[in-house]
Amino acid sequence: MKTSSTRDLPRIVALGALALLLLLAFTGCMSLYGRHHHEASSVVQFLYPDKNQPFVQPQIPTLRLPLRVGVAFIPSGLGDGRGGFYRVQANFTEQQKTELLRKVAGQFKALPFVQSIEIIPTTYLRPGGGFENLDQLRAMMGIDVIALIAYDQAQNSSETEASIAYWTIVGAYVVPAQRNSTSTLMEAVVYDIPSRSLLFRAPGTSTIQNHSTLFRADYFLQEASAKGIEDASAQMTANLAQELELFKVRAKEEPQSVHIEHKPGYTGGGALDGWFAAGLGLLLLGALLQSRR
Amino acid sequence: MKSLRPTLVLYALPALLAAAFPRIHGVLLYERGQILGGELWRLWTGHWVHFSPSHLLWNLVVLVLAGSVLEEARPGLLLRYTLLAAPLSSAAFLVIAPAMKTYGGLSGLATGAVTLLALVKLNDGDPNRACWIAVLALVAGKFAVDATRATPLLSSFSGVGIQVSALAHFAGAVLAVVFFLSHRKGSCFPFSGSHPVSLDTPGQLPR
Repeated sequence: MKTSSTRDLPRIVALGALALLLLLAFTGCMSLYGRHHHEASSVVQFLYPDKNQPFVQPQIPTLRLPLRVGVAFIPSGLGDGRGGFYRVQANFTEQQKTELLRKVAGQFKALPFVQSIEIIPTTYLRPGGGFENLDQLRAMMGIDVIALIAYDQAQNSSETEASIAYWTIVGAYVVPAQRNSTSTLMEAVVYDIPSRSLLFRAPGTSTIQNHSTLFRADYFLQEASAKGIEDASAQMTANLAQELELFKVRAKEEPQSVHIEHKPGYTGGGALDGWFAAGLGLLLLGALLQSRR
Repeated sequence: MKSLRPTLVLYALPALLAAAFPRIHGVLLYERGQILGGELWRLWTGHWVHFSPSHLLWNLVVLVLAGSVLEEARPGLLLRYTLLAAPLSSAAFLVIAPAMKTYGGLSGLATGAVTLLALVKLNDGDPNRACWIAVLALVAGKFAVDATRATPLLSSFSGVGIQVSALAHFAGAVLAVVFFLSHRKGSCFPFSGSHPVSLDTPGQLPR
């Protein structure tokens, strides 16, 4: 005769196996949601893709006014360490890029020494195209100066201690135990193409941190990505306006760092200075006082 | 105050209106290509367009100062000078400065108004002769500064892409001299040697 404990053994083994399976399944699930996403386009990787190539020595830029300026996004992709690139799935949509390019172009358009602005499609730039690629754009579109826009966004989602609630399954839906962080860096670098010289740069940064439930983490990360890009872009365009002002001052006050030439067809302005107005005012006042004596 | 009004109406008001509505600059500005294409009003209107607030400020300060004194001395003379000198100086740009595609600013006319004022006062035998000679010296000093400096000292344009036009100041002053001499010869106001009698200023008697 079999005892009851002997009869229950297969059931106990089956329950144990099911428990182990569930444990493994949840562990897998949890490790799946400890995620990281990184997308970037780098100025350095675009301009200097090959470490073995000699460094391009910049010269003192000679800007022939009025300038023709190009604005472009550096193609996104991450270097493979051997001079090659692989593309990553980008959160930064083409629509967002176009809007940002328009904003940047608008800032340049307001400058009196800028003759024209060309928004250059991303497809015109090759990953790692370097200055050769810029020379081609210069010949093709007739630009002298280019504003290259690069970005770097890293997103991370990790569990907090409260993620133990995921064991209840319901907890994964209701307990905000995912800590999400999104760091975004936008940068506009303005190069004089013929001299290979960096004229100025303007960065913009954004850091967004929030908590979400496990099953809403994707949505929160997508939202944070768009917001991060928007915030960093706004900061970058504000900094760009400041840098443009500083550059105008530098171009006037430090002629040794930037040579300015005027193309045939300059704009002339008739301007009298404060000293002239003050001198005239004093002389007229002197004449008035003398005639009253 | 009466003498101030024509200056304000003739110079300050249109210049301020042009500054308030930058969109109309494209229609008013001296643009060589457009003028040669037949848009002749630009010969006059280009002078009233300015590129920055300080550019406008200093030009207007000088014009209001010199213009109001000139208007007091010779009512109507400033208007006649402006009507003639504005297109003639623009024509001078067309001939002498073909590389200057666009131009804006009242300083040429302002320099002319200052020169004309000094010449009229000297011709009138004003007792402050030294002052008026000093005014002419000031204008000459401005030419010297223009010749040596590429940018104005205090008035700053919105960008480095705009060059100060020394020709505008020179043309304004030369036209003022020519205008003064032609009026003198043509007896528009009856000068008589060093003791002028002005019909425009009936209160003034020969000494």
